[in-house]
Amino acid sequence: MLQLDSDEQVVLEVRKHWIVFVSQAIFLCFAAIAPPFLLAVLSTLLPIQITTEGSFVAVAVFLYCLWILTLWISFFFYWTDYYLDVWYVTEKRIIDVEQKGIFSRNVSSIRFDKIQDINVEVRGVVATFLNYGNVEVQTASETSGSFIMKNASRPELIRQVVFSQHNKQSERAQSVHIIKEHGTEHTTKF
Amino acid sequence: MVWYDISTMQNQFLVFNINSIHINATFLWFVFLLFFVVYSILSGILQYHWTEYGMGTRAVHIAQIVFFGVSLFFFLVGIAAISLF
Repeated sequence: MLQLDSDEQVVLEVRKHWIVFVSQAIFLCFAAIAPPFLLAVLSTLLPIQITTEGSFVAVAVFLYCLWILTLWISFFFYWTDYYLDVWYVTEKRIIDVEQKGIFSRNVSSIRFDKIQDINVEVRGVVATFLNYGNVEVQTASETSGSFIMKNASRPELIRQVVFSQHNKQSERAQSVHIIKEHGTEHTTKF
Repeated sequence: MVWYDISTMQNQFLVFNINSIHINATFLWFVFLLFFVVYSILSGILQYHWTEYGMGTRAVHIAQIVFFGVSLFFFLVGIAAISLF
């Protein structure tokens, strides 16, 4: 489980656009209707005689159920891969969770004061129409490099939120906390 | 000069010489059991990821309900198909 500080809230979750997930999973729909055609082709190519003790329809329904369940699991593997590949924009930092398949996962984070610039690239008619594009967060750190989310949903909103949080963070850094004798806390801006 | 006989060569590479398949209820139950074991392992992997990394979001809860609900439906149809076999 991702660990956040006690006073840290997630402001925005950034994922790839749903079209990316759909384009990966669309072939499952074709696979779902493939068995009758596949059976017709195989019966002509392979001269194997299939005999059953009972109803052939029952066998066909049973095997088709197993096939659909296989596709169903595949669909959710795709969805999990899509859903867990995410950026969490919090009040303090951006957490990049990179899910590569099911068994590979990389988590890195960057504080707002390390961010230098954000590039948003929306390319093509489909991307413009569906509002998705590449978002690159450039950092001052040499070790972490830059964060890139390809085909992110609502890229402009991401930039606005990150800049907004970045500005808030800068304002906080310029503040001085003065604790008075009564124990109450006041904040003074320069 | 004849170096090889095609019919002989084909027979060398034929591992299974199957002309007919006979399906009975025992065979179907065996396939079902085998599939259920594989399904359980894979759904366990998915469940682990959703619990561990899903951050307890509403989308993950809905995904769990839909995944197991639809799976249960198809398993029941599969069992019904074998029973009516």
